[in-house]
Amino acid sequence: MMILLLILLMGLVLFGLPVFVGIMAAAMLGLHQSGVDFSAMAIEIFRLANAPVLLAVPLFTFAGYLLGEGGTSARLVRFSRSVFGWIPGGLGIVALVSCAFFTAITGATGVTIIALGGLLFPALISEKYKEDFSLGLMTASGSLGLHFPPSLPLILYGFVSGVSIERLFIAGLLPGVLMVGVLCLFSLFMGKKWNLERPAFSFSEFLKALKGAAWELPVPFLIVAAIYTGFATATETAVLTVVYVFLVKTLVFRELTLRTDIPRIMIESMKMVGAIMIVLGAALGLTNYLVDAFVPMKILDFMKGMVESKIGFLIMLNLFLLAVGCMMDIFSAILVVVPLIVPMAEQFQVDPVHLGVIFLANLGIGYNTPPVGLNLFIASSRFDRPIITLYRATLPFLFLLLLTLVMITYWPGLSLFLPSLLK
Amino acid sequence: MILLQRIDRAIRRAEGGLLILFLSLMVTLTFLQITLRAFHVYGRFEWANSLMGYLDWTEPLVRLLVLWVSFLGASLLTGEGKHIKIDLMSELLPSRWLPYREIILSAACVAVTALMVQASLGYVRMEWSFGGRLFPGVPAWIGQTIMPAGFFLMLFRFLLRGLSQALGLLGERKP
Repeated sequence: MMILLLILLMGLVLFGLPVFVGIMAAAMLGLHQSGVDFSAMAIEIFRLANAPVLLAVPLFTFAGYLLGEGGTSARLVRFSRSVFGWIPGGLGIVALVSCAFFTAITGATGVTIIALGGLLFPALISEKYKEDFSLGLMTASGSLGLHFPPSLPLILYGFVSGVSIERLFIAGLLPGVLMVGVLCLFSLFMGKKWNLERPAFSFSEFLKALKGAAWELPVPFLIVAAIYTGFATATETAVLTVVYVFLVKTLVFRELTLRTDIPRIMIESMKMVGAIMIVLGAALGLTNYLVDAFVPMKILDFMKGMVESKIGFLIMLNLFLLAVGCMMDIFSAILVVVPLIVPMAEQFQVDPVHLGVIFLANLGIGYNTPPVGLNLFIASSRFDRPIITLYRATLPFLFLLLLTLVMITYWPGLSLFLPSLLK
Repeated sequence: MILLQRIDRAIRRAEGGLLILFLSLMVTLTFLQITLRAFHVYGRFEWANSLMGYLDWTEPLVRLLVLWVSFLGASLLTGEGKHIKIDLMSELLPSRWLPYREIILSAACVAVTALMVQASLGYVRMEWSFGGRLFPGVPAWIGQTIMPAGFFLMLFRFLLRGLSQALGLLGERKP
């Protein structure tokens, strides 16, 4: 009976039942079976009000939505074009770097393709980049920048696993740069091969573009600096970011009006927060039940029979997370899967900070993995191309990203070197 | 049905207003705290420290507001059908099946949120009988009322979605 209900529930979730309802129903089934009152779930959800770290979520989301509106994206693209445009394959590099950067400053809330796709894709085509290459590049760029502060997925990972968010922010820097860097090299290589025309570097354009982007460009660097020097915690940095971005957008650029734009953006961004936090609340309820029912222990015992070594565990983890990443969005995946994996990783001596970096890289790449990766669908509707075209176009990028995933997973030093300097 | 939709719109506006108010409070209060602490630590102003003493209620209040904002946002989202979900079948299913899917999913959501309303009411009642205090003079259960209220609003909107799809189907058959 229980199994039947669970299968029915999984079916409903696959047919589009809101994820939080699915998780709550699963928790209820479990609680009912062990005869616990459902108010246990309410108690867990109320924990959302007792975690100082979580304040960073609404604040960074609000800042991200503020930056998502108006001319920020255009100013960033213009600046990176003035810096990288003259390199072979330069416009591809511009697209990759601006997307990663934009994903970072908007907290990885999924606005990148919408804000930048319409700007960059036509530009790539008009500069005679192959259509497949341009499509693949824009799609793959959706999973870049997840590792850079103030990425919300990192904050959530930190909250669920109990790892310091400041350390995670610092640990993600090098792996994030590696992923962007490898794809940039690919663009450079193809640009050379196709021998595309390219503009000469213009110092006066560089200065003009720099002047335009000077207010928004420093945001992620200031966040890293504030955290790295111990000047502020992640939450405090979030408030400072909101205030700074708010002043820049309303007073410096006067792009957003106080009476209409700001209230609208406030409501829009808080809906996004609601979407994430209700899943988080539901996941807390489910995790609480699972831990009480010793489910992580049982999975661990089961896994121990199959996997002996750390390497074996990491390979299983990579494959499992790729599958999860191509089915689920990154927020639900982190909230549901992390509590199950963390005790196992401990057993196999995988550092929880390193594990967080692997999680994000893996789930981000899962977005581009056929048949059902989310980015593929978003790009398919955004650029109006059949999904099969996107499978083919994304393939080389997917291959390169998987290569970086292998490096990130099996070379812990890449993630752990910078945090080890942090004391 | 039209009456229900009108009620829905009125609640929507109220929720939007509350969201704006709460988010502004969260930003202002936290910013104030940081500024005062900076004055105290870097400027060694005594008044900043004593002012901070008066403002020690802001931190728990802001944390509670995170919960309130989450529920208000989630309930607004429900009306638009934009909750996080695995959305494969919209592409794969024939479009005339979509209303049936919507009705089944809405029914499941109504059932689950109804149980959550009950569960969180139980929690509020429990806290009420403990008589805990959030701030001097403010009982703790007041802060928790957003949970049953939020789940109830979600229930209401899932119901509305299911109903409007069902009515749409009936309307198609008649003529």
